[in-house]
Amino acid sequence: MMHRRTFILWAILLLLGMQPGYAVFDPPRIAFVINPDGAGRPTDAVRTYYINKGLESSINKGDLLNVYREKRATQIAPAVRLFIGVMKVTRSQQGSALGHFIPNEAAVASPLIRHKTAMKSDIVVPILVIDSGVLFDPGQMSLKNNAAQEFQKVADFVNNYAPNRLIIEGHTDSDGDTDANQELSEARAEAVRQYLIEEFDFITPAMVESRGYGEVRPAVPNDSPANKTLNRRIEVIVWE
Amino acid sequence: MYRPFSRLQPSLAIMSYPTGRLTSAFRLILPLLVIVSVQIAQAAFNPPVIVRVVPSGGERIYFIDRGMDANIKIGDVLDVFRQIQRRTSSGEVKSQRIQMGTMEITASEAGVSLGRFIQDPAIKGNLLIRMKLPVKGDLVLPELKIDSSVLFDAGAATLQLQVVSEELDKIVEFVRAFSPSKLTIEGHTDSDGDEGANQALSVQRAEMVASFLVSNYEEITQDMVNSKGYGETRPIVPNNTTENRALNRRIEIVVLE
Repeated sequence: MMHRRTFILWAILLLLGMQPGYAVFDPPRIAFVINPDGAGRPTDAVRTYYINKGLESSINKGDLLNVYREKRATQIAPAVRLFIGVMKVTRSQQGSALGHFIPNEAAVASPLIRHKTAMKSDIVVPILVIDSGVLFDPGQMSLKNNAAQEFQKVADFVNNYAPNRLIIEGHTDSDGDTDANQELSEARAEAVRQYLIEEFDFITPAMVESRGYGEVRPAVPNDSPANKTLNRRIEVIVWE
Repeated sequence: MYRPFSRLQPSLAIMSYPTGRLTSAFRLILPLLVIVSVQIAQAAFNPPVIVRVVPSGGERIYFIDRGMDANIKIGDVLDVFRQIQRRTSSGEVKSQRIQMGTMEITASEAGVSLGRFIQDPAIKGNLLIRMKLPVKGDLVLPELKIDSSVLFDAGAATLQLQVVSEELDKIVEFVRAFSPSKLTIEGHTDSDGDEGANQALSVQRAEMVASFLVSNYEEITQDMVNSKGYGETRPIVPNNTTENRALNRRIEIVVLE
């Protein structure tokens, strides 16, 4: 027979061994979906999404947030986040917010995304979008001299959310060679990351990751010069 | 397979021991034993494997059980291997690893990543491989092939020391991430020149890399590393063009355990 005190000691040790060792961040999620009354099968334009965090998490009216679907290999495996679209916040208060979902055509085409609109428990994370034209000269990978001003915005944004992990994404329009665009987007995201690490004390190398997506994930279709400008962008995402 | 509790198995095994008659002093030491055994369990070679395949019309998506934790990043291209058991003529069972193709990583988080498979055309004619597309349990490993011309001057077996560390750092990163217990350094050449000379050169080069790794990186010890030279006997592509010959002149690091 095992002594009770020994058993408790064992239990405590086992529990300690199973702890991940860091606080698990709880990102804002869609708590439920509000469908309009009696309109048959509603479209995204009229569906409202209820988000479980609001003003206290610096989610304000008019903000654009990225929406991610979590996918797992098995029920207990860690999740990978897949981008599905953008949430436009229409109302925000303490503890909750309401928004409308705009799906990203390119992203929801993935076979992993079976339900093509936002749904309950999707993650909603704050982003800051910077026009690449402000930071870089066309085709260039090194930052413009007067980019510092723009970075103050990034610093304020990061300070505001105090994230544990930050992702810098580079995106380009569809002009030019696909591979060249991919490389350009990677190099630009990395340049932004390096600048942030060097310039701001509260941003550490382990905290920031840079990713390049090239032209595979346009924010809007590449059909007009204005839209192409919108697609040439750097996104700063509060990941955790 | 993803087994979250496998790390705890050693401790559970000790727990089921009849502890009633143990002295209190031993009871105090037991937790230490558990911690040590858990540490040992974690240090075993634990390569990333495919844990789930999502089939769909055109493109199949693969879930891999390691990600940012093993320094696997979006855009990385990794090698996919099938491990097969084969009975040799003498009756012993030999495990063999065959490369199926490459995996391009499309998403990566701590403990999980997603990939897209690009098939190696040579696998179509390989009779040992029945399923030509990756399946659950196939290994996904960072590419550990180094172009010989980067490390050595043509025909020479002395390392070009100014560039060497960058290339060999890849191997050390791999050792840090997956803690293998055995590395085999293989030297290969193209078919140009004398067969015997090629064989000797490949042996020398492999030994050179092995001794450099052992003397310069503390993670890699003498008994971990094994070097072999195959000369021109194992080309990866036919030796018919200049580019193909360059591909065949290589140093490969094979990790089995």
